[in-house]
Parts: sequence; C-alpha cells; structure tokens
Amino acid sequence: MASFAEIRLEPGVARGLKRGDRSAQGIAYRVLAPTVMGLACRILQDEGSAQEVVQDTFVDLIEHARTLKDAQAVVGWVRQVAVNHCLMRLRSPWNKRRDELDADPAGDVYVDMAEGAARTEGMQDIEKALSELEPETRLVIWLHDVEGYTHQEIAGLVGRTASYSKSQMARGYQKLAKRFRGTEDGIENTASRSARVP
Amino acid sequence: MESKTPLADLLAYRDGEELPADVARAIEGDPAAQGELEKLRGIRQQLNALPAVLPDPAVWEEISRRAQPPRSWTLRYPLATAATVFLAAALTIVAWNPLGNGGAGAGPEPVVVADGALVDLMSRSQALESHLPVQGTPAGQLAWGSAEEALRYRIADIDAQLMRIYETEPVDVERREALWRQRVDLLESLTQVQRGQAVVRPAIY
Repeated sequence: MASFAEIRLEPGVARGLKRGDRSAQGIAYRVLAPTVMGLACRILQDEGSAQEVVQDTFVDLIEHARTLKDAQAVVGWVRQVAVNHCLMRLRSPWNKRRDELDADPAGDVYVDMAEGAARTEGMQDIEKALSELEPETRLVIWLHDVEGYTHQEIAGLVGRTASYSKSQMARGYQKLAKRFRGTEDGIENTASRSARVP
Repeated sequence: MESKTPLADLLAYRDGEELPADVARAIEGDPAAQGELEKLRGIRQQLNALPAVLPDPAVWEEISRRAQPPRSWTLRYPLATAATVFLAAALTIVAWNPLGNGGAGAGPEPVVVADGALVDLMSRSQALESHLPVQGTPAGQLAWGSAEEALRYRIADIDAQLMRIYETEPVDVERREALWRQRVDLLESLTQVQRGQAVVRPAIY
C-alpha cells in the first residue's frame, strides 16, 4: 500500500481543487481514498468507521481546498485530517465501548476489511496480529512504521510524551514478534493456524 | 536464542535513533540481537506491504452530496453581486454620457442614458430582488441541487457576464440588454420558487 509520502498529486489537480472543480475532486479521491481507507481500517479496525473517516476527510478537503498552498500540501493535509478523524473516533465513548465488547479472549473477532484485495496468507496474518493490539498501540505503530511519523509527532497527536509513544511501540512489537520468527529467507509466520481467518 | 537487549533499544537501533554508544556496540556484536532486528524489520516490511483498501463506491456519492465546494465570490454570494453590477452599469452609463458637455472642470452629469427598454429591465430586476425573502443568502447554504440553488447560480453567472460587459469597451448593447432580460426572467422564476409555487420557467439560455 502506498503511504501518503509516496503519493504525488499533479499540480493541476490541486489547482482544480482550489477552484472547486468536480473532476479534480474525483481525481484526488481516486488517488488518495484507498490510502485514507487503508490507514483508517488499520487504525480503527472497523470498516464502517473507516468509511466515515474517508467521507469526513474528503468533505473537509473539498470545503477547505481553497486554503491549501500546493499539490504536496494537499496530500499532507489529507493525511493529517484523516489521522485526526481516526483519533476522534478512537477517543469516542462509543468506540471504547465497542472495543470492550470486542475484547474476545479467543481472538476470533478479526474482520477481513480488505476483502476482495489480492492478499497472501502472510498479509492476513499481520493484519490479524495488528487487529489484536490495543487501539492506541496500533495507532502508534501504524503512524510510525508506515506513515513515518516521529515519536515526537505522535506524542503531539495523542497528547503524551515521546517516551510514551516509544513504550507503546515496544509493547506492540512484543506482541507482534511473538507471532513471527525469523528464518534465513526472512520472516515466516508462525501464528496459530487454528485462529479463525475469513 | 533470544537477545538480552531490550526491545525498545532494538527498535531504536532499527529506526536509526540515537543510542548510547555501548548499547549500539552491544547490538552490533550480538548475533541474537541481529536476528531480532531482522525480525523487526520484516514486520515493518509486512505492515508496509499491506494492500490499500478501496472504499465502498457509495462513499463518493455521499461525499458529493455532503460537500459544498468552494465557489468564486460571485457564486457564493450571487445576489450580493447585484449591487456591484448596478454600480458598474451606472458608472459606465454616466461615463459614456454623450449629453455631458465634457468641458474642462465640468464633471459628467449623473444622467442615465440607457434606452427605455434597458432602464425598464434594470428597474424590474431591482424590484424583484428587493422582494426576495432570503436576499443575500450565500448559495452554499442552500440545499444542494435545489431549484433555488440552480437559479441563484444562474443569476450569479449572468451577473458575472454583465460585469465583464461593463468592463470592456465598446459595450455590446444588444448583449447587455439580453443579459438583463435573462436576469429578470431568472429572478421571476426564483420569486415563484420561493413563494412555494415551484414553477421554474424554461429560461434556459
């Protein structure tokens, strides 16, 4: 999956967005929405909430595009807004309640949100491993390892210290690493095959 | 064999963060730590390789329905531009006044020299506008796709064309009159829609 840092928007698209041009909005959506959706799915682990994040992010983009400076500013802005919408949902009481209900010790609440996409068994396993982490731990790992946020930046987002971000990361990796062992060819998944995978 | 190096240090090393020299040396000289590092790099690699997820096609439709795209100021506040158009019209008419004596020190007399039909249209346009109940409402606040919104945007478009006409010389008199006529027709339709009659005249230009 392309991270936001790898996405390039044509300057013409950004200019079109500023003008409220419908086709530019469509292009920006096609280019950016899968990454926004991927980010939201992995952080929130709920497809419905992820779709809402995509919706809210692009409504914000269309309504505020005229304030953006250039094409690359659009991509960074979309990433920031999408992360903020994810954070808002993670902090909502409703979401917390849902997480409590989903805290199944058998670990069989994993939902395949990338259904239909070409996926390997290893991908399904890392996806499942990620889904089993605490929401904030997952957020820290995704923002750091995929989106390239620094611990300082993550700390600013979640209102904690960089040390907190680092400890969340270590805690998450401890769980992730238990599911994998290194081989000469790289990483091989050793997660329990009995876990329910859709 | 498991490394004795704390996971936080291994992650910091993997990510190129600053570590005390002795910690870094210990990691480099420890085969178990190197094995763990490989594992950590592999996990990061797998996270980055996860596929993008396509949103449901209905999401874009919902965005289109909800979003109020930015518009030029003439489109955001269509009827507010009317005053500017009138001002431009009046100034131009005054500036072109062929009846003015044009002598040194003599300013142009504020005489409107438009022909009777145009003056009637302008007066009618002004009267209709003054009776609109939600005069000056930003179009962005209207229901997306409503008849009222469509009419306001068309009026805004006419205003923009009128502004351009008054900015260029020579003024295309016929075009100017046609635009004023369209403006009056659209305002009449808007008045009807706002009165709840919802009868939009087929004023498609």
